[in-house]
Parts: sequence; C-alpha cells; structure tokens
Amino acid sequence: MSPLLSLESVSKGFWRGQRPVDVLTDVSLTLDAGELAGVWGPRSAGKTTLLELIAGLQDPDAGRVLFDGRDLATMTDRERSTLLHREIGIAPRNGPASRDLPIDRWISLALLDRAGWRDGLRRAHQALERVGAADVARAAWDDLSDGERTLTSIARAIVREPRLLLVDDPNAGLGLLERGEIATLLRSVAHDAGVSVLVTAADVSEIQGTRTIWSLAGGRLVGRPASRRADATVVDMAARRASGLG
Amino acid sequence: MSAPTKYAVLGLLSRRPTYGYALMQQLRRWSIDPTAVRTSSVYTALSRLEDDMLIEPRGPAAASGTDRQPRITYGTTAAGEARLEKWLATRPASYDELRLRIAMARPQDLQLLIGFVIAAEQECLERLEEIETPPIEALTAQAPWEALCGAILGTLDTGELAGRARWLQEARVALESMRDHPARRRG
Repeated sequence: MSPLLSLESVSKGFWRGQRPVDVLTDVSLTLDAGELAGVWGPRSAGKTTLLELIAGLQDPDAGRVLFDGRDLATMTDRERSTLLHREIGIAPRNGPASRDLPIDRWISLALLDRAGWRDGLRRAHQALERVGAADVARAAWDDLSDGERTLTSIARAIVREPRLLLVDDPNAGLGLLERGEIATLLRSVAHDAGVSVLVTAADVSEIQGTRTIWSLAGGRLVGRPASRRADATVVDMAARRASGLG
Repeated sequence: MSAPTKYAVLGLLSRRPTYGYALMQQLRRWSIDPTAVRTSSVYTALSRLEDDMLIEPRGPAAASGTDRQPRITYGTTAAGEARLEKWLATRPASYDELRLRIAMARPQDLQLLIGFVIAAEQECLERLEEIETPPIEALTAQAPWEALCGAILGTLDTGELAGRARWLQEARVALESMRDHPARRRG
C-alpha cells in the first residue's frame, strides 16, 4: 500500500533580512492512511512550515510533497484548493474573525461549499459531540478555555471529513488531563475513521501515545527509518477485526 | 574495572599525559554516570593499560610536599592511540558509552559523533513509540490502587526516555551546527 502522504528530501529556506535561513533540510517522511504521527521540536524548528508545505500552502525549494501519490507541484491552483477543502483538514489556531459568532455556526461555515445551512449546523453539532465539546456549541471563542479551543478547532477540521488532519501544537499550555483527552480524541480519529493525523508539539512528552514520533530540530527530521517502521495500519485493522469492530 | 573506565583513562591520557590523581579529578568533573566510570578504579585501569602497552610512564611528575610517593605521569603509546581511534569509531553499545564518546571525541570525530547521536535518537524515539501510554483515567484519584501505581511508574519510564530524547535532540543540533558553521567552533 502506498502512503497517503510522502515528503521526499524536502528543503525550505527563507530570507531573514540579508541572511538566508534554512528552515528544513532534506526532510523525508511518509504517513499511511489511519496513522497517527507526531513531530516535536523547539520553537522555530520549522514545524509550522512543515505543515504548510504538506497542505500546499507553501512550495518546497527542493524535493517533492506527494499526496496520495500526486506531486503537489504538478497540481493547478484549483486542484490544490480542492485538496485543501476536501482532503486535508487543518485545525485552525485562531478562532472566528467575528468574535461573538457561536462555535456551532463557526464550524458549520466550513461546510458552506457542500451543505445547506440546516444540514451544516446539524453536522457541526455532530462534530462537536465527536470531540466531546457539545456543551460549548452556543459559546463564543473568547469564552472558551485553551483545551476547549483545541477541541473545537479539531471539530472545525474534521467536520469536512478530511483524509489527512493537521493539528499544529494542540497541547500548548494544557495540563496532563486535558492533553490526555486530546490524545485520546486524535487516536480515535485515526483508528476509527481511518484519518491520517499529523500533530506537532514543542515537547516530546506532549505527543506520547502517537504511533510515530519524529524529532525536528536544526532543520532536520529524525525518526525511525522507513525500513524499520511497522505497518501500523495493518496491525490496527487486524486488531479491530479481532475485536469485532472491523 | 569496566571497559568505559579504561577508555576514559586512555582518552584523557591521549589529550595530555598526566598522573592518576589528576585523572580521578577530571573524571569526577565530568557528568559521566559514576556506575559506568568508577574513579576508584583509575589505578587498576592504569596498570592494565600499562600491561597491555597502551600507555607508558613518562617519568615522575614534580612531587609536591604533601605527597607520600612521587606521582608517575603516563602518556599513550602508538598502540594506545590506535586502540583509542578504533574504539571511538565503534558504535556505542549503550547510552553511557555514547556519553563517553562525546566526552572523548576530538574535533576530527565530529561527523562520527553526529552519526552516533542520530542513531541513539532514532532508537530512543522508537522506544517511546513502543511504550503503551496508560489510560489517562488511571492517573486520577478514583482509579483502582494498582492501576494508579502502574500508571505512576509508567510516567517515570516515559519521563526518562523523554528526557533522553530532549538531550539527544539538543546534542544533535549543537554538533550539526558546529559542522555547518565551523567558524563558531572553538578550541
């Protein structure tokens, strides 16, 4: 089975004033369908840049990003836009621009292109239920705790039923129990719905429990070499069949 | 006497000929696991290394008034240098050995060291991936006693591995930065 996402020797740099800065150097990774993976590293390690390259919001200077076997560089703008709306879900770090918009309305706006108002709202409530945040459906973003903001952001991303979910630093500022709640949610999104999930964190302890752990620092990604990676998806599917869920 | 002590002593003598007590002090100053490198067995290491002709006495050091016996200064032989070179290039078998490699490495070993650190980082991340995280509810006061104790112990294991992963990541970045920006390298 070919991976859902592959990065092949991707490099990306920026100009900071007169000085070139290598953000990512020769980064390669693969992500299978239904795999939950985490990337951790310090601030400015390039985690957000990595997610933006994967989502096609930036182009690599060298190397290739492939989604479902297709090189993002060969896609038209329209195809990329479709990819971003249909296949890839990004949990937004900032809430709605209109601060007093109720959370359920904000989530349903993500479905404007495919669902009517009433249907969109119904699915928004389902997504909030799914992430365990149904009780804040009518609240405004400013009234939410950090943990609730992360959960509702994930709801906003999964309401579109993406194949790949990207979550940038969901645990920032959260305590152990809230982190556990989010880890459990992301695991179930990956295992039950077969969504590939890539999550970033500032510290390795925040992504424990993900199936794959990569360390990103100094522009380089380190992790288990592809040759030694177990096929996580196959194991999970077999376990689910054995337990009668598959 | 442990092999790490032997190579720690050999490595220090390769840098600069010196005597037993000074070696012990240098080893104490390093934050090397005392169970891996025993300062008390420095003299045993010296005599074994001398028997194997890896080091040789370079004559007595200037004796100070409080010494009961003259200090003997040792230095490495050509065979000792060759043995050290071979050991430095061998992939460390344990975390303690990796620490010792870093302590002993010379500027020309930089690329070798980066390879060792990356391999150790990969292994550490793999072990973290394999740990089954305890269900979070096991860490709450309502959990059954045994589950709570098991979960607490589990967080210790993962905490130690996480600490190691942090250290290895920082070590890798520092070494790679020395390689990529050699102007910053000192001494």
